[in-house]
Amino acid sequence: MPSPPVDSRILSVPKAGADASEYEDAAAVRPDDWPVRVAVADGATESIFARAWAETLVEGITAMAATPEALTTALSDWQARWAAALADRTEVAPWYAKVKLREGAFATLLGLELNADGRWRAVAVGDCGLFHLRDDTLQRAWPSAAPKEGTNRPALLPSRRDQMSRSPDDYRAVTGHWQPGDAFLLATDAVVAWLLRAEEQREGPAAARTWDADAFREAVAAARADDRLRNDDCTLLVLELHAPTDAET
Amino acid sequence: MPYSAEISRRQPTAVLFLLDQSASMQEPFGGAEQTGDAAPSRARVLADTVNDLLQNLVLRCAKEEGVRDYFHVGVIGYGERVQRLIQPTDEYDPGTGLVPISHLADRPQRMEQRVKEVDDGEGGTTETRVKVPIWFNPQAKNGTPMCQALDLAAQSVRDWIDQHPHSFPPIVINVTDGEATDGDPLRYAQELRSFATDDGEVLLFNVHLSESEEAPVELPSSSAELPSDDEYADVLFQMSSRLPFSMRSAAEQEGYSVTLDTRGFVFNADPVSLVTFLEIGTRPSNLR
Repeated sequence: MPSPPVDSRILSVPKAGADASEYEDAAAVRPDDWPVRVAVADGATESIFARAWAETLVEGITAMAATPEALTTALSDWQARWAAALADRTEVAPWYAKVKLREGAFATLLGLELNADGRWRAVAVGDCGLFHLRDDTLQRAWPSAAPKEGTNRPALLPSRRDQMSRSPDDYRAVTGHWQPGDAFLLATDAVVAWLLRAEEQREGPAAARTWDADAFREAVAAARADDRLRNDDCTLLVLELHAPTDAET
Repeated sequence: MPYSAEISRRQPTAVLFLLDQSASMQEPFGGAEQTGDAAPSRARVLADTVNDLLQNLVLRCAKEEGVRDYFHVGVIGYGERVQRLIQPTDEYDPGTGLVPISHLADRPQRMEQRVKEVDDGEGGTTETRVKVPIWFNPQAKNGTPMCQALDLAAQSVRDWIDQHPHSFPPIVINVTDGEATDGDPLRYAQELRSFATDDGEVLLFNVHLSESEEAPVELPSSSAELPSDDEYADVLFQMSSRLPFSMRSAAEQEGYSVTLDTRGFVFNADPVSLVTFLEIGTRPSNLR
């Protein structure tokens, strides 16, 4: 079976004033076989090893079904492996690192899965977002469809089992249909809020679909400069599903 | 908008505690006598609370590579004398008496073992032993030289502001159980609050610790909320800054109703309202 006719790019800019090494979002793409899977995650700034945990989550979710049930099951395994990987660090760490290791890392996550038959589904915990575009028209923005002032307390996936939230409402799921020529944008929370607000002026996700790395960096800098974009790590994953004419060329 | 400067390592903020160490701090909190002989002194509760809070500030700044200097921190005690309870090391002394939080993190006076209740992940709790950092000990002796303490605080924040003119302004939190014995603290408080960064004037908050069984007056918006015959409560109210936006939000999240006039002041605080207020008063805005 030929590879899925998709193109993707991951665009990222760390928060202003921080080094690239301090960027704590993550994104992953599995484009080579059906189902095509993509994901973004946002490591919580106040936790330790947040980026490594965000990377664990996107790698994990792009290797399994994008459903709350599958995520719940897989999370236990990831947490067990996480604990094992950090066990020997705890011994030599200074007191504050010991406390933070005990608290664990936290991240939000959104995973999207597209099947060859035209169906898609997604799962999310927290405030990462997805935009589905057709002919430059926004079909759906999910889980938030309208800009709201950022909740500073989104649902989070913890690296430690004993930090699990017990609210099943934290796991959100959605399904839909895609067509060749459609595009999906996945973004971390600051970018989601910015694009949703920009959508009200009809220059949100459709414009973002055209950005390359330079255009994204410039747009982020301009939006931060006039306070349209909160100073946070910014990640945008663009997935293009080629129209048949594209696939033939 | 004032009080909106982002807090980053390039642009840290400062938190300075002024702690009453007068002789009366040997007494337990008002109403605590009924709980038995073991009631700890106000000095003990205050030292434990501020040591805990410093620990939490360090933890908010701790990342895998170390502690990020989002805060510079100082503690001034006033009682037998007025003194800095946290000293910068010789090799790193910014000259303000305010120490970058990474230096504080790496230099506790000692670690003490405590028993702590933690979530067991099954809906219950379990006890675990943890080591906690201690930076200073309780003391309680002599009078209440609050004016001198406010004066020393003013020198610290003035010098610090010279070095950090664009930062979220310093937050000074004064915790006392009695009246100043060395003058009129309102004048010194006004002087302290007159220093400013581009982002706003120095914030001075006051917590008065309970000597009676009266209920605490937390975050009042008008002096009418205070005991009517208490001139001293009114002085502390006037000394206290209004809460900036981010702290009003933090207070609302804690269940307080606040207005634009709400002051960073608790009168007749019990240990719980002390902890709650210190949490609110040290939440200037999100760290970046």
